[in-house]
Amino acid sequence: MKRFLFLLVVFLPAIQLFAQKEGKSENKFNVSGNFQSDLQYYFEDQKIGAVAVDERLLSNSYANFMISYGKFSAGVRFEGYYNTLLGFPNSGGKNDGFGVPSYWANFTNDKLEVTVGHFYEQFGNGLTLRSYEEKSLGIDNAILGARVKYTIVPGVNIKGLVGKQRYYWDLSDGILRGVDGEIQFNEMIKSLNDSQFRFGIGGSFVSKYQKEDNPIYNLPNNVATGAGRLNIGYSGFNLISEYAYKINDPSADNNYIYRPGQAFLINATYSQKGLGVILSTKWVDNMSLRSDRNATLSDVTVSYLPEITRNYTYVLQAFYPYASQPMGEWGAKAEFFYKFKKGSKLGGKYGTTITLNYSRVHNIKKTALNDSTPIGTSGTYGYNTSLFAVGNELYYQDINVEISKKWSKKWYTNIAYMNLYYNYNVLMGTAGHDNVKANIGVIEATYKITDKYALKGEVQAMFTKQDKGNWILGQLEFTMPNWFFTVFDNWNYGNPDKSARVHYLNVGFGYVKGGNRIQLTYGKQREGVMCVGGVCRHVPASNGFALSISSTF
Amino acid sequence: MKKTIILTFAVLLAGLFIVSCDKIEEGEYLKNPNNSQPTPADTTGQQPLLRKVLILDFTGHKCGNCPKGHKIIANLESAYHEAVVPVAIHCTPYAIPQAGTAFETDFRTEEGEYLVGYMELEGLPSGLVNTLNPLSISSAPNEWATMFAQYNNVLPELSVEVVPTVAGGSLTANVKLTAEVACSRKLSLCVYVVEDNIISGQVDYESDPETIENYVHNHVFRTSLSGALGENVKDDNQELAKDATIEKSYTKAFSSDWNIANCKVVAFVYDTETREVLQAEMVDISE
Repeated sequence: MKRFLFLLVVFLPAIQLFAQKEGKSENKFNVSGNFQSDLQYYFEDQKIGAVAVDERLLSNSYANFMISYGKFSAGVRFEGYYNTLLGFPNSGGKNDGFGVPSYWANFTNDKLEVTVGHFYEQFGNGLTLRSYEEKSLGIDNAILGARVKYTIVPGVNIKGLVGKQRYYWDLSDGILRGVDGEIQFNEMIKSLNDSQFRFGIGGSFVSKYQKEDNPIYNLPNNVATGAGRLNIGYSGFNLISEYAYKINDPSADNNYIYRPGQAFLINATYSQKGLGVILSTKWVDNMSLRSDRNATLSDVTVSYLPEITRNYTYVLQAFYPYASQPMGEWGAKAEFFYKFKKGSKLGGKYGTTITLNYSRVHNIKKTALNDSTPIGTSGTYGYNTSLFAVGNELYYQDINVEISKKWSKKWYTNIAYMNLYYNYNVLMGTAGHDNVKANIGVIEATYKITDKYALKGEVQAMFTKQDKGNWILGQLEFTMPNWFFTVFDNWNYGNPDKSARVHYLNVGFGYVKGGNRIQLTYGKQREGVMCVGGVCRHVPASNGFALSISSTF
Repeated sequence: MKKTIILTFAVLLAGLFIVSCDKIEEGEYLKNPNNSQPTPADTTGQQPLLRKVLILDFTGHKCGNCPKGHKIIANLESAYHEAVVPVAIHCTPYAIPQAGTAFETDFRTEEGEYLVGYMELEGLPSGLVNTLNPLSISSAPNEWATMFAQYNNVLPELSVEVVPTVAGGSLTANVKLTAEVACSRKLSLCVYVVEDNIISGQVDYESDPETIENYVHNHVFRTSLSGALGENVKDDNQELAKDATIEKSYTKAFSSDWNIANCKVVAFVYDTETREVLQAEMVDISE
């Protein structure tokens, strides 16, 4: 009874607000949030290099709670890692534990938005600043501080921030300051409001302060990076371009050289009904900026380099993913999408879609400062290069053709072919390993048994003479209202080591209803790399059960 | 009005860019520009650096980024001499030997692989400067120099004396800890054997070609006389009075793989609870 009265006292104000809110929808008091927990039970499996863990069971969990009332909102996030799943950033056990790593409060009206606490932000394409969260990679470099966004006039926006980035359960050493401004002329100039011609410009500036205390090098306390961007569009055509410059930033990433950094990217798209074209190019030199000059891997990154290669979802196509190279890369991508009309010869009754893409990435051309200083020597300018200089070393190339076709009300297929070149030593950080040349094929077919029941089958194959040789994958997935069941086997039948020709068999099922999902799988996971947006993490081999629970409320 | 607004914030942006960055001019990159390495510390007539700093360098002969750490340690040794006590622990798959190549030498040890698991290392190079706390691991060798510098001219709470002797194929290390000030910490003692001047292959991404066949490996961890993490020598918080001593002796057979003439004994005492290394010492076995 006492507990009930206590709860009543605590929640009475909220209940009264609910009573007042009728007829005043803008003052609605809302509570929302989400929860996710991923647990894994590990068995030792020496054949695939899967280690046993002392804890037997590891887990990553988090829960977000948000309240909003009118123009105000606030939120908090709980996270627990008892202990962190294998493969997620956890050097020295830094990530293990439970706590409240994120909390924030926000006020927003027509022109002004103020946030204090933890927040995520991106300036332009991210070349100067991208603070974001990617749970699948274990990345969370939220900024703890204050941010203000202001609309000066419609189409003219400015934002500024100051803070420190999250570093596991602590904060980074460096302090970030940043400002971004943007003018979208179509919004600003009334006569252009409805024009098919679109034009906008923007600029950003970010500065990091970190006290220098190195006994060997004179290091800059303040490192600044700035960027200018523009976007032009007309009807279905759109062009986005951005150039960024970073002043000297000796760091662990660049081996403590004093060379400035530059990045340039341009992205052109054209789309109309049934047709889409994307052309992109990116040139990068020494453009890694972090809140701590000694941080490595995915810790406290400030700058972000958008990926130039395509993100693949089929397992064997994503086997050798490309990781962005902030110390120097030039890349180009062309993607073409076309839908043959329904009723046409190639389109058939329901239409046929074809997607072609090609991407290629090289190193940039670097020359030594002089005969006695190797490229990249610590405590020097590093090397010479010039904007858009492209080197001869191929890092990555893929050519992909994909055809999707609906044959009838019940049958749908997707067929893909990919040719791949992968510079293993550069992209995996090894030496002496052969570069991978592979051909990969995918055939996927879905049969709708009824409106509510469907069966999907998939066969993928990779043919290569390098690395672990050929693979073949078969998968069956059955879906019914609220449930799904899967079984797949990934077999390394072509491994040069016959004893390593392992079947990576997996079975699982899941239940989904509304905002709730629960999934249980059992099987073997091969060692590999997982990338999202050009940022990657190593996935260790494992054998065991995996349980995932998520809910949105 | 609109033009004024736009011009104002454009000027603000440009102004911020100009004032919030530090440009280091060419020629001012190094703190000791007269030599390519820092000038040796002049200890004559001055109080020498008393606190000696342990650097555990987790490395591997196929780790192409690891020579960066070796160079940083060499730079620190050049400047601070005996104040630097380095131990290179070859470990992980980067240390696996390959018969018939420049990487035939097996530098791996049981203690080294144990420490990899204990420290939850995620890659190489990884370093620990004056601590055995896994949370303090640094993957940036230039940061090791910064960490080292904080112990400059710091007086140690304990001193470590080591007297190694060799007899009948065994190495004995007699270690004496002396409290320089009253000490209430719980203490642990570690005694390692390291070897210098081992010529073998090493990958160095900054070298052309990347494989250096006759690389000189120094401070290579060979074994521990006291276990990978040592042993407790004071397991309570009772005060150890100033000038009080703790003496320990360890004996182990030395391997025929070692060149004993190039070997040294490294002994260091650390706070069992905080894992901070309180003092380290390194002596030639031939002494």
